[in-house]
Amino acid sequence: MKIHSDLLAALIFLGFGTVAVAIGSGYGFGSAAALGSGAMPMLVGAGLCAMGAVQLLQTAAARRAGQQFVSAFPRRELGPLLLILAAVLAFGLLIDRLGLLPALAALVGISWFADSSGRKREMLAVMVCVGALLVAIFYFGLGIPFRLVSWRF
Amino acid sequence: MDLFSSLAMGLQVALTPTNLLYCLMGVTLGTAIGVLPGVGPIITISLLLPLTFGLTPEASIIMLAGIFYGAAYGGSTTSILVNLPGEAASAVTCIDGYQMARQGRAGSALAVAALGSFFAGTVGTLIIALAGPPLASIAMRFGAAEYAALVFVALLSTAAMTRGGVVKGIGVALLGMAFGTAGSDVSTGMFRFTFGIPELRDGVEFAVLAVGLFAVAEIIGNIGEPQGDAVSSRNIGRLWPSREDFRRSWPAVLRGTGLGSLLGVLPGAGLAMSSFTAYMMEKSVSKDPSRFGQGAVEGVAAPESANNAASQTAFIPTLLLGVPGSPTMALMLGAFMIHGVQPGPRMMGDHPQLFWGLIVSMWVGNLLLVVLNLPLIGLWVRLLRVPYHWLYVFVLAFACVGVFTLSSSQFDIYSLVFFGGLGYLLKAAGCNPALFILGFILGPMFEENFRRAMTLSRGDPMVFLERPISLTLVLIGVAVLLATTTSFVRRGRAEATD
Repeated sequence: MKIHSDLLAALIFLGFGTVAVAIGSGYGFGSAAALGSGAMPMLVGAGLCAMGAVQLLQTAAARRAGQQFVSAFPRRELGPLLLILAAVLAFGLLIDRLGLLPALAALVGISWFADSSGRKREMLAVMVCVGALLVAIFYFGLGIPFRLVSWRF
Repeated sequence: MDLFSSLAMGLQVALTPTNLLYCLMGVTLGTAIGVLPGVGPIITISLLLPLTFGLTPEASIIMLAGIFYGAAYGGSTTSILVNLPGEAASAVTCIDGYQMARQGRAGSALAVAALGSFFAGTVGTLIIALAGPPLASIAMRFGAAEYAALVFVALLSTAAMTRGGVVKGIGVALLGMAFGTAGSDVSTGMFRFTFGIPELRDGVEFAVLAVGLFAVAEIIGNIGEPQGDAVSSRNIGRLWPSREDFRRSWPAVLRGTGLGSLLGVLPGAGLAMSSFTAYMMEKSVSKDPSRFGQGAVEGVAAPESANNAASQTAFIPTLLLGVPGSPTMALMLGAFMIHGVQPGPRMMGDHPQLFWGLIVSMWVGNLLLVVLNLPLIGLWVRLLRVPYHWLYVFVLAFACVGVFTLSSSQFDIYSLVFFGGLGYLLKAAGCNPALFILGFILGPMFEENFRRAMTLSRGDPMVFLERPISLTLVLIGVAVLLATTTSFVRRGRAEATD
């Protein structure tokens, strides 16, 4: 079964809705005159589940009517998705350990390959530009005390 | 305090050198990102949110507001010159604006757009200044029940009006509300959805959420899209509109301004809707509708005035009621709250400097846009040659460093990865992540007032229907919902029987 956008929406709503109700019920609903901490999460979660269910029914009806669906995840977007998220993650992992400049280099080095139209030689130039601009804006301009390069493991 | 002394005080705040500088930075940056396709005001404002911590509230709000209305301006420039709308709000300007450019009347089109926008901006500013005090005194009488009902209506009608269907709209707004409940409960102090992570005790950091959902997720989506690069520099022609263009455009500017001012106040309507509606209206009142699409100057004047007027009056519900009508306004509200200012009926009395300073700065900003932009058009067009694969790397790096400066915590960066992924999923599911932001901002407001109203009424839910203002609001919400679902059901049935 292909995951198309309507089905994906239903799954997101049902998933988060169930979690909200399940965890929210632990906080206590309270009474109508004194709603507890769990009331809002449970109400919102129930609403999410309801929207998910309606969406699921609509999808089923559309499927019966013979509607064709396209996958919500086109193959050409998967590469960029993983590379961009990996680039941000790498930045987070390196910023405290190696400092700002190495973290930025990793960020540019990984995210560069998310788009196939850039050439490798260009990448170095962009890396230098991004490093220089951001250091100028944040380190000198705003005076935020970053460690530019450090070694802490 | 009367109107003039208020405006004079605003002028004093707006014209201090620092604030003027930030206003200039805001409108210039706004124009630049309005020109660039793929980078819009929502991304830019969310990217700059972390940086505004260090500024005074006046300077940061003035700058962020400048980005918001400057973007609408930049979008129209590229629509006219190269048929590329930088923003959805100026897409309709392409139709006649680009035709005018092809006929060698680009200068005239640009000038009409600029002057029309300036006029509309001035009227919008005046409307806020005039409507502010009386509206605030009405809103002062709002109790918890009214506020809960108001938030309910704002969320519902925005959800109902976005593309992708009511179910997805309401669903994604609810999802935002669910994330809004994370952190410590204001009434009981209980930690909710913190999963034992100390960083989550204050709730999800708004700036991180915004950057992740918009900047990071947007980049992923844009890279997948094939990029068209049709850049041509052409002769702009003379800048001053001809007498004929003037005669045709001023009534259109008036109508566009009126319509835009009205639509800007409504929750969910937004800039794009106001410019499209203005274009349609212009076409229907015209004696010769066939001229539209062939370079009719009214087709530039009306939508440009409408979206600029709407971008000003959109501040009315945000500033006076504390309830934003659009996702961009939700970001602005977030910016106010970062500085500990709660917009609402009391804002005018508690923070008169900020309120009137912002309003006058919008007028000053519009003037700066007219004066600065016309000579800089060549520069803006050249900006279009920046390839996207340079731009996104810079935006991503800026996003990461900006978020890290919030509290120097790696956790914020990991949250950024999470919200980037979530934003991508929401877009893949056809849900508008902007509604998520609206739900996130309005959720806690709704919860607080809903619980208070229920307590005051001793648990009787009829309180929302017994008070006249609250009843009216609830009825409006139900009406909007019925109108959209019934047409939706009709469409669904039609599809099923086909």
